[in-house]
Amino acid sequence: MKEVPSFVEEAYFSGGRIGDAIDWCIVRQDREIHCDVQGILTDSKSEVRIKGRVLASKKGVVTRRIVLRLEEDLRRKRAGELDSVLTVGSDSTSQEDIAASQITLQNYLKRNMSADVYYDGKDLQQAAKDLTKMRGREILCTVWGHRASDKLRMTVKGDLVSSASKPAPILPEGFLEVRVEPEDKVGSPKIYLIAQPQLLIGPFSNPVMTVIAEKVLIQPFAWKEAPAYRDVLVARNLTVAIKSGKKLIENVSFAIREGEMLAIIGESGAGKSTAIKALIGDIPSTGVARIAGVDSRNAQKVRYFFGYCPQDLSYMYETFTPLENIVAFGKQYDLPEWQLIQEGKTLLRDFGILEKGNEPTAKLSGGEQRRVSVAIALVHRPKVLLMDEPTSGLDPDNRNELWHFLDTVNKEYGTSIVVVTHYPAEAEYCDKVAVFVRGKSLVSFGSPAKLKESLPSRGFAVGVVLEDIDPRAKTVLESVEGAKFVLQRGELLKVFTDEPLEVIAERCMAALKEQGVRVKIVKVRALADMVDYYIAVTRGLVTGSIEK
Amino acid sequence: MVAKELRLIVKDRFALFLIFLLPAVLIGVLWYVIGVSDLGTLTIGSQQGQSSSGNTTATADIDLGVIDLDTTRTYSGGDLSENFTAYVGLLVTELVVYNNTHEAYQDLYNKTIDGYIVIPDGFEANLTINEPTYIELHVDATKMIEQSTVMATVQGATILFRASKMWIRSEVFPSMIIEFTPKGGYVATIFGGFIVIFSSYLGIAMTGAQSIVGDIPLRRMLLTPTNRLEVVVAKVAAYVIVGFFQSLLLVSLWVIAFNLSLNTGFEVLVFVMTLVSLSGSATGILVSAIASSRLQANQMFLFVMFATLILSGFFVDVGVLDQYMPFNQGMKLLIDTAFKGLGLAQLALPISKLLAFSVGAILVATFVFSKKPTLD
Repeated sequence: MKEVPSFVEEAYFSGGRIGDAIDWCIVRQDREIHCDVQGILTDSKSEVRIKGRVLASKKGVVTRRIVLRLEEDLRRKRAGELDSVLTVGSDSTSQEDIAASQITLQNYLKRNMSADVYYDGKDLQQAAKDLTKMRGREILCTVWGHRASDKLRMTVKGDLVSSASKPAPILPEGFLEVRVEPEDKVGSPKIYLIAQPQLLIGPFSNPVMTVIAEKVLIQPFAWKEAPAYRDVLVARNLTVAIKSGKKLIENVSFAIREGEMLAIIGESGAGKSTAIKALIGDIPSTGVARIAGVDSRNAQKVRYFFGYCPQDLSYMYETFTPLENIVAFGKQYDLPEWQLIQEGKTLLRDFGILEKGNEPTAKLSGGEQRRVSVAIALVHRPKVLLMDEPTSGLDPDNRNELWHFLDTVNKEYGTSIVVVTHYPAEAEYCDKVAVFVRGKSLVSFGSPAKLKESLPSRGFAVGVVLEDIDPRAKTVLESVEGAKFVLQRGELLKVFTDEPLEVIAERCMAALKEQGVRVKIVKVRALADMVDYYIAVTRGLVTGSIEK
Repeated sequence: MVAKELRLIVKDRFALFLIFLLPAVLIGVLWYVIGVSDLGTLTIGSQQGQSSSGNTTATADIDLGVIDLDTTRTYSGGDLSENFTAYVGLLVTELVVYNNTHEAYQDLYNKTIDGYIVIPDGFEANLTINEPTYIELHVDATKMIEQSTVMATVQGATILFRASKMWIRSEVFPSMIIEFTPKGGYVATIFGGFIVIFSSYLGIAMTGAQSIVGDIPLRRMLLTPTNRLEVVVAKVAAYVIVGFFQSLLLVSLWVIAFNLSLNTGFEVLVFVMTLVSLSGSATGILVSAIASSRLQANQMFLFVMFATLILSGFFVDVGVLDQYMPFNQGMKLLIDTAFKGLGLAQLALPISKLLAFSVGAILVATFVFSKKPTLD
């Protein structure tokens, strides 16, 4: 099983070299960077080891700090809860949460898609300034600091009510108001004023309800976050029936993990599109269908977690520019326009069509329009990208190019991709394949390698290349003793068997020679591809297998 | 080939609906209209031997007022002006006698009567000395159909009156005075008003009819968290905004081109027109939600257009439907504001009818739209 998400770059630093670690992070600031830190908790002086995602890294004259969002606490003995945001400093620091002795940084091969933002308490005026752009959204705010009245350490977590900044004697001062629901839902909510630490004069507000901020975490999309999930896409016993009682698909079960690519292949009318429609909650179904842990029957919510890219390029406003299309569709996800423009430009730049961003979409070439279509589907950072027959009608060269592009999208953005396709050969590009057959729904599911291994001789066959296409050859080879079945594609014939391949190869040669069929090449161990597997499964030559 | 085409049509239920049911509905509407309209009693050709002799007279379904200002008493028989009044009374449903023109004018404004006759002083004197005699006939400019009925009725009464007094040599000339006409040309005002509302309502409805069915990318957008009510309302709103600017243009052209001096402010007119655009937009969106292709939407719109024209009340009396059709309410709003100078507060009922129609059409459109699949 492939490690998902995979990282390709790892760097190790001692606590004393935190400056180098910060430089390493700054170079890769648009990437998702994870960090493994060992060190001492400055509060309790106890040892700690944690894993987390890098939220920010700062290198000033005095300050050298990496800020992490805690993912895993690796202490053997639990010694109290850690903050979910921790600052890491050098091995001699007393200002940060952790004085690090060892730092391991991992650069994931994908963009940093997280929308949460971290601010130091003294940068609150910057937070207030940035928050003015995020107006109109529900924003979750977590603040670590101390109460102005008695310096008691406290954590405030709640919805952001307002933000403001005003001039102060030395530096501009930022304020946030956070509405905190009472614990256990008893009592009424309280609004705390979050103030910036000041050098001379403290804030002029009720000190009991004022928190002097040290660390601030802003989560703009907390309201729509998916619950914790194991598989990003799950179908279990998914059945779709029409009014007459006829079942279009029946008991379809498969799942893919985050970052995986799935190809759904099958003939027309086999139920590929029906399965997709049921998965996204567009048609009524029974059984389980979940995307990012969200039940697809909750159609309004699940739509935040997938992006749909139709086959037809007319599903874009052709008079709009690519950027206008991105904004028009992105606004439906409650994203502000400034952010959509920013995201849209990043996507168009990544896809190599930024310079076409202001031309009418109709003036773009087919390949460019396809990229715009993908950009539209990705602008809200979905967990899953669904693509309906993207390669239909494309020549082999363009098909290849598109698949490389999809591979880049998958790696760069970490987005799982589901591709419905007519071409079994394209399934080779994917981590998983689902094969649908008319009247039988899903007959096979698994990685291409595993599925091919289910063919006789673990997917190896005797390969015979003829001098010229000869209609007798297939019949001759099928009659060879020990041959289970023969698949032909032009001059190439593959003889599948459970018996030793060398023996069958000799028998094949002899039989063909006897009939006067001229042979160009015989390969004793020819590897089957997905086209062979697909043909074998759909013709009932082998039984499909469904990977659990 | 012909058989194939026939099979194609037969298998297209919507085409059958358009070909058979909608014309039948239109005929039904016409039947209803004729049933409630006076014009329905008109026949073409001879009466095929049916006699209309005797003392029976046809009574028109109109109410008239009379102000008798004649004080002359030169004929030895009965009072001629009272006699004439009695003949008018024979031909109308109700004849109201007024003492002064102010009261009659007020009732005409309130549509209590369809017109009123002023018999001038000297009516009897002129008749007895065989001098031409004039009577004033005041009619409502905003009631096109009633105008001709009133005129015909008064002329009929005049003929009966003169026939009963064979000694009268001089003519009685009814002089028609059209009330509530804004300053400017009569035709420009009345037909211009009709065209302005017609363009505003049907122009917006026509473009609105393509808005859902012709919006292919919308199907992709429906896979985002947007909902269908939002889509319908957004489309209606967009067309209302377009309608607002269209009204600015139309009203300006209408007023400037014909040099009209309307009895209301420009802002009131734009408000009325925008309201008409809203109902037009809702009508168009409803058509678009029902139709499943652009062709179907075009076909349906044509029927909506014809039905709107027939039921507009501009050409024939459509009875109670006049109270409910959005186009008719739009016409009423325009007439009552631009011609009669009523304020918007006094027109709360037609305004609320237009709003109710629009909301209803939006909800129905959303319901129909929600039943359609997102993906093919």
